[in-house]
Amino acid sequence: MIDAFVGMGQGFLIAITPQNFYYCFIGCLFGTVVGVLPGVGPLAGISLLLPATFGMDPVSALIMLCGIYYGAMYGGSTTSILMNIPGEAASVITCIDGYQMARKGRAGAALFISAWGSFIGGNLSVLGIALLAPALAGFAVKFGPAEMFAIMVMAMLLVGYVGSGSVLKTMCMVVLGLFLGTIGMDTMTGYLRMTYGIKELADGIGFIPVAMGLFGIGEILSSTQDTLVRDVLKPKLRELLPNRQELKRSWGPIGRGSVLGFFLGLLPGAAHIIAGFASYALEKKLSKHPEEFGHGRIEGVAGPETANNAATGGAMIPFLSLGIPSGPATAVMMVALLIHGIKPGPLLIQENPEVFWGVIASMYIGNVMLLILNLPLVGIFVNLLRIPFRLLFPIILTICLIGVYSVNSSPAELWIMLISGGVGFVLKRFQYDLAPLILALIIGPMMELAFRQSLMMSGGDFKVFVASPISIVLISVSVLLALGSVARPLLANRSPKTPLN
Amino acid sequence: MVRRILFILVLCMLVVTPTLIRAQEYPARSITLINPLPPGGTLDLQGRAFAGLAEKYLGKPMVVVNKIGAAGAVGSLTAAQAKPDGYTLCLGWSAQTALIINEILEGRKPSFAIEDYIVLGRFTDSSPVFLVPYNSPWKTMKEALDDIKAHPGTYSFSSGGIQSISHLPMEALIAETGIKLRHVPFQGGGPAFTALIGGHVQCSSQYPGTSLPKIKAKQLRVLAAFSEKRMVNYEDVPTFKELGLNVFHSSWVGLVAPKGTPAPIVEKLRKLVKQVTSDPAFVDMIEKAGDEVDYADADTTRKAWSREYDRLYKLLERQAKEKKQ
Repeated sequence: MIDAFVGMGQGFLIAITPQNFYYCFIGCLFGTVVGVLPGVGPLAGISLLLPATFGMDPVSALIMLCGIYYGAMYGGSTTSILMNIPGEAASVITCIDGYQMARKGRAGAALFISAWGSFIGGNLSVLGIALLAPALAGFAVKFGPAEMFAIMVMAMLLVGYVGSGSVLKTMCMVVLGLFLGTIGMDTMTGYLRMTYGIKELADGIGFIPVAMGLFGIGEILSSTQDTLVRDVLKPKLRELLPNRQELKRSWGPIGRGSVLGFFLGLLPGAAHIIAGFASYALEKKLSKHPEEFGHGRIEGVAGPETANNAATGGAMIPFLSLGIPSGPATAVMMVALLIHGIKPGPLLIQENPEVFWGVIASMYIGNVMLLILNLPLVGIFVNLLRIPFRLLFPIILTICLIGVYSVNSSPAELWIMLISGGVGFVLKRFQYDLAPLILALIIGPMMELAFRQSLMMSGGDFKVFVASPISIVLISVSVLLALGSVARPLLANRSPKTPLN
Repeated sequence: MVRRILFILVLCMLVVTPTLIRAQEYPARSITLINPLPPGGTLDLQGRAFAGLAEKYLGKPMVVVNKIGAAGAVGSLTAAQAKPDGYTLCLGWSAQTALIINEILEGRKPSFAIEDYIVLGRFTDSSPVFLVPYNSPWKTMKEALDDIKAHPGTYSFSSGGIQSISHLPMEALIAETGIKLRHVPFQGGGPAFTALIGGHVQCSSQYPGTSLPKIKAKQLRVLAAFSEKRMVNYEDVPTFKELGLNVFHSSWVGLVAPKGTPAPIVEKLRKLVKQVTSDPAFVDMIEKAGDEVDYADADTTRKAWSREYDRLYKLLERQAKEKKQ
């Protein structure tokens, strides 16, 4: 503990040198920009700036790249709230209530709360790294395929809570998402599934084009139906800030989102996305008014936006203290360090304390910068809504097309996005929730892979799924969750009939 | 007739002239370097280091694009079909060879072939090492092999994906010794390492650069090397050859261009590979990452690629036969 404080002190001395301060700012600014632009995520931003880091010293290089990473989580909510287009994958869930808030004229409040939640989540997770990194490092490797499968099962069960309409419709969307997730090359055998000879489908259906299509393009298509009804939103300045009640309702989700996001961030894979919607599901479960979720509850913005930022902190732990990048963005950061001869791993804190503590301290500074950077932007962004829809929508469409193309430079993904847009429009007409579809599409392939890897390791013995304490706990929780959701309606029906003694 | 010939000649001139002019000016804009694998791996590191320094010699930036999918087939195919104007290049590496062979063995016409590319040169050529978790009961390669032989099909190994550069060396070992190990493919080298360090699988073959920090940190132990002779940084580790086993594997990384790229551009790019790979900054970056620069000119690389093709063909053919049985 003392070590951590001494280390933090050293770290701050390194992070506040003018040079590092400058790179931190550049990273945060760049991160906000890639976060705001739909489709373009932190990975693209980090890859772009990587060559620039070759001449820098390793601490500055990592400080800048980290800035992009967590900066993108701040920016990601902007287009979700204003235009119903996820700015980056982790903000899919913010679209649900964020956009509804914007339609009610509360865009400013939603943006403010997401920046504020990001700030709290970011700071708490940095504190988490400083205090818990050595203790938690070993925890991450305990998650083998069987444990990952248990996590994914739990995640799948939570998806059900995200939908706001009928359970049957939500299940339809989950199944559709799972089905779309099976398309493409099978990782275990290399066989092509459901591609019907279309080469472009060998890669599978990416969730970025699907999410942008279902939400963004779908929204544009829906808008063509009710141009006359729709009025340009004219937010007034005093409405930019959340009111007292909104602030009060946000504290709980922000606190819980920070903890949840941090721990889920430790897990490899799509931690940010899972953290966001797990937080959403949790808030909906705890809320006294779950029926209002999906219609612009501020908790549905505060929780997920906090959680996806807290997850960036959690994700730094396996990366810095084990040398295991948890996702593509941290993988590129690892390249940046390796090129400088710094090897992330258990010895990093001893061999290169300046890197470890310098970066962590810079994350505090970066989070403050981002808050200062993002709050004034709320006013500017909200003014975008003053643009008439007939001008705004072509702009959105162009941004979506460029954004999706820039990810993998694949024309096929543009088609996937446009088709998803059409599908999203129809599904929306019939009041299907779109978020469960995307979540199932993300989790499905990960769950399948973990399931088959586990069975491969055990030689087909199903006992592998309850072989470790972690899996036993996770599977038990899943079973309870499943039983709970089945039993509750039954109990609720019965209770009024029970005579009181 | 003469008029017609003249007309065709003029037409040819019209077509050729801009190419010639472009060749002189090359590069007039930024160059795309396709990396068919996801970011963060060995290929990505070398590609990014190369692209970052190429600008110094070309005067125009070289941008790495990760065009991933189908174990590298998507990016490789994109590069093979790209306009051969020198503005789209691709990283070449061993697993591409395996991709081609697999399509042939599965009775398909391969979507791209070695002949689709012009080889520009090689950056590195490294052999993997055989790794076990640090607390593994196997202290030597002999102990490991004896135990695996005594318990056929009980143990498993992780790889970065089916037919990937961390899968093939193990297949070479299995082919030579006849041991039975289960293969658990992951999506990329990172998760494969995690599974090994966590003890979820018992062994793995990985590349020296990414393995070294984990060995130093006592997360992993190395039992043998797949190289011809002992490797730098791994002087105490015996090769399989020393252990009396005919097991060898190496994986190269280099630069290729689509077939049909004009000769002057090819010459310029071949020179570029030589310049960058001898740049102290490049050598330094690769060495810091735990690898060694092993430049080879286009001709040598091309020949080595053919030899690798023959070696892997035998290996994968055997594996395919076994699967059918």
